[in-house]
Amino acid sequence: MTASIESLPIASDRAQRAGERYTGMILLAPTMIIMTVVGLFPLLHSLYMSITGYRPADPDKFQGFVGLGNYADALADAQFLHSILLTLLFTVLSVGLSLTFAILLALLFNLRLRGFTVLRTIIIVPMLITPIAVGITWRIMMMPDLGVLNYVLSLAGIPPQPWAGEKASAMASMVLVDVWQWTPFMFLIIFAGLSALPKSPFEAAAIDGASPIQTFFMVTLPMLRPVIVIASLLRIVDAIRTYDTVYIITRGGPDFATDLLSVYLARVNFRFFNLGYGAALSWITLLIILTVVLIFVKYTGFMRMVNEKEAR
Amino acid sequence: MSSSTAPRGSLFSGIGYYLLALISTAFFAFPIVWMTLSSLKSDVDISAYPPKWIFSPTLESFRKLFTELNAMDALINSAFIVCLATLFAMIAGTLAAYGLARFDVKNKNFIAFEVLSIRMLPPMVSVIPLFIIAKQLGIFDTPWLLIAVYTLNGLPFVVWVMRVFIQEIPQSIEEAALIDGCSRFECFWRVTLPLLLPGLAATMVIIFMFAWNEFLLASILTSSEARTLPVIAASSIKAKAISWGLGSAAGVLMSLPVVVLVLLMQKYLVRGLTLGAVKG
Amino acid sequence: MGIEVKSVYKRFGAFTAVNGVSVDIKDGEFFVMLGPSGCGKTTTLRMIAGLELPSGGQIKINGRDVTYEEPRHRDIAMAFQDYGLYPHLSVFQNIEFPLKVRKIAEGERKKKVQATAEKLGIAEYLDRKPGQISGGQRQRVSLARALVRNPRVFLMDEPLSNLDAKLRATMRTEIKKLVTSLGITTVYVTHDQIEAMSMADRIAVMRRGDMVQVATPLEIYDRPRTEFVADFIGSPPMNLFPAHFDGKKGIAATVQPFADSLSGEVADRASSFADAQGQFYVGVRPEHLMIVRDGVEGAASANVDFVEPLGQTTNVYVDCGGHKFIVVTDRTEAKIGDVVGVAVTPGKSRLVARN
Repeated sequence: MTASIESLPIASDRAQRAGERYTGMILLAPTMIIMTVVGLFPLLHSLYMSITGYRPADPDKFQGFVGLGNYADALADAQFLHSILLTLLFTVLSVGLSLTFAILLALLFNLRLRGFTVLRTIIIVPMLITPIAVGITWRIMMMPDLGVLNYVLSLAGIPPQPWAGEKASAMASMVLVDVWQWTPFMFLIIFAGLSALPKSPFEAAAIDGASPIQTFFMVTLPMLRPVIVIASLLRIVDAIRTYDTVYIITRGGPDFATDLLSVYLARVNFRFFNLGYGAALSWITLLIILTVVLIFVKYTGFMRMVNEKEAR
Repeated sequence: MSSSTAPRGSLFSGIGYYLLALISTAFFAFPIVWMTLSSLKSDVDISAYPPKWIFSPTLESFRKLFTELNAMDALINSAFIVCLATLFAMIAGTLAAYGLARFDVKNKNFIAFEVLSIRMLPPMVSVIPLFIIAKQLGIFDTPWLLIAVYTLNGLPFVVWVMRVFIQEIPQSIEEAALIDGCSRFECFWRVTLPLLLPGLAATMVIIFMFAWNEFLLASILTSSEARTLPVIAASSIKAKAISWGLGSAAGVLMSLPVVVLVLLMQKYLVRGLTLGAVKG
Repeated sequence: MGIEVKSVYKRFGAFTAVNGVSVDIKDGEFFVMLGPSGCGKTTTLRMIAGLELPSGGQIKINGRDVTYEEPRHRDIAMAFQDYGLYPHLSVFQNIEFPLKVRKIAEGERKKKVQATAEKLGIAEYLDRKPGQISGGQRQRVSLARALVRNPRVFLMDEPLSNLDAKLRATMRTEIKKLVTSLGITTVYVTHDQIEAMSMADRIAVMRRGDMVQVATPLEIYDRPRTEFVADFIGSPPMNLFPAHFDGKKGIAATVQPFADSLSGEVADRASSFADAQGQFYVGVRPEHLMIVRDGVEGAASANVDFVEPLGQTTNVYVDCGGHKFIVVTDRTEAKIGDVVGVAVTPGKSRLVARN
């Protein structure tokens, strides 16, 4: 009996319900069309450009196909490698610091004292501010001579700082701005994760005699891991792409001290109009981001989590 | 662990916690306060040192914003572009999310991951081809170009977040509707959609925020006609003569709608920002 | 008329959920599909509902082939395990929904909703949302929504399993009375043998996608066809003693006296229960065994392992030469360690096939 059933044709396994064989595809069509036309097509165009020597402002220098020449140049481009390293440094510092602050803040606010809800709402606001406005505001505040930051420091008896104005402190200043704007994002997510944790493991830890510090490292942190990973992943992707605030505050200077990838890419494309080379650099950037993301996704089982909810 | 870790210790530690919370809040609030104050200062007050805390507020910078920087046009552009892009992304994305959540589609995971990868795409990669293509099609510096791009950028949020919201509606509710006599469309329209409204509103706010705040693409894909608020705000500091009052006013003007909208819709904010992965 | 299911099968990829099921459910019959989770009972029900399409086979409702029809064109109603109520609509709107979708005039809708709600005792909750009423009331709303348009066929998917035990018992009788009085053909899916026994006109016991036995509740209890049915129905379950044919004794079993007590008429049919190796079981319900004095003729000699007094009856766990089984008796003097005789009520030994 069993054998004969298995040899019978599957008449309609894909069509779960009558008249719905193509419904799923139809529902996905608009999204797929937008993704192909606005997303995939420019992407492929860029890939094509990256193997040509395309310089629209300088027709003589159109070199036709250069194969992987642009990519080879990129790997030998000291300025580009400098940008990559700066971007990675910026990302690690910014995400690492905001993650640390966010966890501490989340623990503090999880005490849920009276009035904390209002303070929590205020803390969220920086992530909502247009990055251009953030850049403008911090640039005003960080002015070495007239800025309010140096004024506040002087009240505490600390000598004025050059902030983004000098090579030594420019990177730290940009990290400060990024941490200021995005710690709230991390905080919001981690606080939500913390609130959703079950109570019993903490009660068990207390009964087992764990100190608050032990409880944090052995219970809280491991249980928060998925949430922390997701928040970090989203932040890393955005930190690598940081452009707006740096564009407003330093434009990559002084002396290339804040020349992040996207700033350098913008210069290659719009100052030197070396579009073929720029395309190659963008693709390398894309590959870097993709690698980071894939490692993270594999590490966390992000997809698995979503698919499990779908059990019919 | 809602309140299990509340301090049982001395009054002193309670005050310590309050102090910590207040200091951190001050750190995050101060630049916003400063931006707002700067936008209300006259040009003289703004360059005063030591900085003035008390001054007679003026709307001069806001007036200049509209007279000198054409902020009205930019505001209209921003509103038009962002609202339409949000609408399109919501419609297309919600349909796709419904398809992914409820139907057997080939390569479902691949499609979902493809959509998600838009969120990871550095705008630098596609902005030049978009620029070239738009020039050829004659849609450069029109709202439609940015509408298309922002629709695309909104999709990963809508698809992933709405997929989770849809998955949370029990299948049996929809099946009951099918048996009660609904076609699949009626079932979606009369049963599923009303249940999705809070999720839709929350997602809408988030993609609205990201599109409204976007600068890089807007600065390259527009030149004069379709410039959005962040673009003209950035132009306030482009010239050698930097106008801090103008910049701050622009900052306040463009941040205000998002701050108000998001704070009104806080409930599902976390879920939206994490593309549905973390419950708020 | 009624529901005809003809060699319907359903595969999900390599997994066969329903393995060529055929059954005729008569008009007005209360038909229960019983089995453990994953046995295919819910999939079969969903195929009758049209929520799932069969991979092959045919389904007829009231003589019409509906195998590939959309659910809404099948004239069926359904109650779900989690009720499937529309949370954004009031109880009134929930019950009204199927009428509204079918574009029935408002006045008539109101009348019907009111009448159905009164019949189910939920008239006072009509303005509430499903979230504001108890589980039992929600189930009544879901029944009302199903019954409001007088369906010819009513499908129920474990409708009582989310309720507590006491409520389940009352709802059981209520549902049975209601659908019997309305004469609706009902297909009811459950994993609860008590629900199946108490409500069904006929039970289909399902296992791994097959209907192992389709019969009236008492028939299934008295004459379980296979080891699986014998084990699934009855608590404690039927005692099964491995048996085979033997030249001298006719039927040889691990506890021979029970095989010997088979009536000749039953023993003659043994070959139809034997598998290819000639193996089968002799089965005896625990309540058809008696504790007697050791050495009584026709009784098996056994050790008492454990005694479980339940008040009304007593479960005695015994061991007969390494073969353990249960005897349900009235109160007994037997104690742990006693050697007793165990005898079968005459005519109550059965033949049971292996799975």
